[in-house]
Amino acid sequence: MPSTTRDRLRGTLDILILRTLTWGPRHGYAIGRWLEETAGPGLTIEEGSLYPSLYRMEQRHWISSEWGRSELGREAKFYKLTAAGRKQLKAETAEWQAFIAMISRVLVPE
Amino acid sequence: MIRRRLFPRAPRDAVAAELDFHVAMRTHELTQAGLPPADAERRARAEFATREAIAAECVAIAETTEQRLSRRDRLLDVARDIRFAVRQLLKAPAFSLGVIATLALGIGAGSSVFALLDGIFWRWPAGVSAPATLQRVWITSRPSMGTPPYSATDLEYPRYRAISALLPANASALYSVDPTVTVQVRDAALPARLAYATASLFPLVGAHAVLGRLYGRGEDVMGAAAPVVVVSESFWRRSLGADAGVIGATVAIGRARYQVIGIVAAPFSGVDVEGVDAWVPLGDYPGVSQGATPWWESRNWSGFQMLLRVPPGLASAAFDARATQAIHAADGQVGSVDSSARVTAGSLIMARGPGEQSAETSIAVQLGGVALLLLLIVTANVLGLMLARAARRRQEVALRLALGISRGRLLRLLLAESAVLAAVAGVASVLVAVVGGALLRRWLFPDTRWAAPPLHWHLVAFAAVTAIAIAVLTSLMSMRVAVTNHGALIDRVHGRSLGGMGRLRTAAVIGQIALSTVLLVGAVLFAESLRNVRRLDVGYDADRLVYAAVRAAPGEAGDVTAARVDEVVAPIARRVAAEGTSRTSAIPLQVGGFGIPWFAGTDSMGARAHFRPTVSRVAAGYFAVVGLRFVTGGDFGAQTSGVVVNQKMAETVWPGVNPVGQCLRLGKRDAACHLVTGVVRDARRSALIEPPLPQYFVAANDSTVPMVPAADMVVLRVAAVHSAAASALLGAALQRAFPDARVWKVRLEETLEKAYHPWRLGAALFALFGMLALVVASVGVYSVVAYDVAQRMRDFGIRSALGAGVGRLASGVIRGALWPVALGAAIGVLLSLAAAKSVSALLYGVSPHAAVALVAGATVPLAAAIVASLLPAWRAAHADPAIGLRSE
Repeated sequence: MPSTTRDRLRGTLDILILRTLTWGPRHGYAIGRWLEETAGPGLTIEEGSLYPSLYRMEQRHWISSEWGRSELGREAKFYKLTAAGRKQLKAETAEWQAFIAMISRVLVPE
Repeated sequence: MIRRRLFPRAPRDAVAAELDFHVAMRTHELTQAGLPPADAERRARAEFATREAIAAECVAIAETTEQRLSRRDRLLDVARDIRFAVRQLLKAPAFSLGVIATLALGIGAGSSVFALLDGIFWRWPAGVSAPATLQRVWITSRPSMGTPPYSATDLEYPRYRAISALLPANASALYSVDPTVTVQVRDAALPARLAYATASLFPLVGAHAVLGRLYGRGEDVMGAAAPVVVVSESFWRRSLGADAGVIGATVAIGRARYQVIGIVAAPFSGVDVEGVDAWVPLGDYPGVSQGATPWWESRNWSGFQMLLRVPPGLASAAFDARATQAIHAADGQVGSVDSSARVTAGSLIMARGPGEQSAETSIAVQLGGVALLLLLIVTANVLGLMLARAARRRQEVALRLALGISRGRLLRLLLAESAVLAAVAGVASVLVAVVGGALLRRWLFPDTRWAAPPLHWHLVAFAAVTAIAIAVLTSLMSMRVAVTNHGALIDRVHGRSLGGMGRLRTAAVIGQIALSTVLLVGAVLFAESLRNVRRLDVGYDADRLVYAAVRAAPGEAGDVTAARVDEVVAPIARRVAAEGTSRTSAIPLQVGGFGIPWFAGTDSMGARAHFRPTVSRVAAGYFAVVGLRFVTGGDFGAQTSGVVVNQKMAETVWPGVNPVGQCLRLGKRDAACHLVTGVVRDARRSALIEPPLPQYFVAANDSTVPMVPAADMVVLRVAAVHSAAASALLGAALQRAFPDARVWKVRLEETLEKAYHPWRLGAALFALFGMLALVVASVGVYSVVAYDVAQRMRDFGIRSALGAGVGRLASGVIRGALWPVALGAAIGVLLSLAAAKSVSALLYGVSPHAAVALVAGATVPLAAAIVASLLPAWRAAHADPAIGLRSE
């Protein structure tokens, strides 16, 4: 679990991907597209970050993958959330909220 | 898709495919947005310029993931397979128990015999360094022309001295074991096996002291040995409570006193199958000197065993030749040279020869073959059970294969199942073997005190290797059956081709029945032989005779006189209501006999060099007491110059002439005539089975034949039921009267029982293994028939619906089962005839082709097979007619 702010920033993409997968299994391209569309203009998901991030999370057993048939009729690798990933997402989300609340208290004093 | 999961791509290919897909999706998106496909693709690729770097990073991560996973997965997979196998087996408890019990019995029986043979033939004595180069000296000689050469390990000291002179120091040793001494420690009297051994024994075998020291060359001087003893560590722990204070203590062994100077480190306890508890210097051996010649200069004190290590570089044939020369030279110095004597340095393990094997050892070897066969049929049977199961599971297996399970994985599952069964059975079989091995030892060699227990890593290795081999074999065969969906193989295994049973399983049944038949034929043959030898007339009323003798300790012979012994015997004889008492110089059926030169008329012994009658001294009334009946003439009575001969002697020496009144000159050609007063029937001399041997008897108080040993053995004729009690009473009374002397007591009945042992044993063991084989074969028949019936229930149902009666259906099933069984029994009979030659030496009075044995051996398995098929037959007969109508 990331414990420093730097780790948290680097891990941001991980949380976003995990969150995406709560809607069901998706392949890498769809994850990127969904994130860009949900966040709106301003967020670009770099392939150079997306794929290594997927592989790393798979290694940690947060997500698992399976080859399946895509909408193009081609074989594609679908990722899905594991129980460990769900737990991780819950913990990270709570931390993010705490982090944001902390920053907000400083930047936007009541 | 499922295929992908089972056969994942290599990480490099998987990453490439995933990134290609990414480009394809982007291209598709751009095309949808209106770009021409070629431009769309070009743009998609351009956007993904860093592809190679990304791919490299992902591949690196994926590869480490894979390594971690595969290591964990392999372990997890094995655990999962085993759990799965256990679950599957628990679901079929009857099958699992059947397989485990069959395997445990088969492997257990095999291992028991293996443990026995291992102890006799293969296991080196414990605690001996480089046992393969340690050898035992065998002397092969031909006692008289025309007799086969005879090998023995018995040796006299002068011969030992001659052979050891050819070897470096400590390269040879001599020992002799007294198996029944009593070690008196403080107030405890402990039975022990004592060895008299040269000091060189310990360095030769590499034994050392765990406490104290061993005796040395200086303490082992012939006739002047130091009174010291070393005991084995196991004796020290077992009988002396591992008390270190015993070092320096004085113990009494027999009449001598020894100081304990050391404990020989375990596991060494001698070099024989039977362990040794204590060693004293050979120089203290209680041999008796004859006049001026001490025992160690005499050819008359044999019974020593010689061990040696031939120096490297000396060919064993060359050594044997030199040693042979050496003993001939040594013989020449102390007496006449036996030019037929040859020295062979043979194996340390006695049973490996070159001497003849005992009947018990040959039975043990035969048993080895039997156990191997039993193991084979057990394997066949288990294979049958496993194949039946595999066939029943074909549907399940087909489903799994359709779902994408790989064949390797399927084999792993089947292997796991076999492995679980074999592991449980293997452990059970070791237990069976430890118990069985101990029982076999007790039956086969009741008087042997084994130096090592049957449980040994050899045994465990044997059971494990056998279990693993069976597991691998059965799982491979099951795999073959399970994955085959083609009619041909199914038919071959389970088809209708042979009585509905399938060739493989039919063959297994035939083999099993054949083996049980062979074993049962063997059992009947041995039982017949036992009955025949028991009916043999040994010439004496063996069950009524009780012998006893008192041997004085050296130097105290004066105390033990015939008169004093008679004084002790008389009241005992009255107490046990003895029908008669007499004396003799020789107990029948003990080793050897005593011969002296003899001359009849002008004929000299020289003309009949190989006709060597033995002579014994007997007191008045002897013939009546032992039941040796006269054919003609009578006892010499008080007439001391009379002689009684047996039929064989009479027929050979005075053919066609009445021997009574003939003259026999004993000892010298010019000795006074001994007149034959009577001829007795031939009786056994030294063995239960021997041709009639010439014997004659002289009076106990006949002083003209001084060379014949004195008639110092008392013989009592008592009622058969009292013989055991009489023997015990007599022995106890004599020991009380002569506390320092050694008292022997022998019941002839007991001696005979020992002589019957090989046949009794053969009958018991063949019957036991035959029954075991029969049980296994019955299970086999049952499983085959039951499976067959289960497959054809619908068929039976239809026939029942069409009006077939219960009897007809049942007899059909039994008939179907019967023909492979009958074929097996017939093959068994043929095999018995073929194998007959190898057991004929162990039989007595029955032809190995005895019809009754063949019929009995063949009938029992047939009957057992009918019984085994009754239950399935009953099931078939009561098939529900509705089954046939309901399905399909």
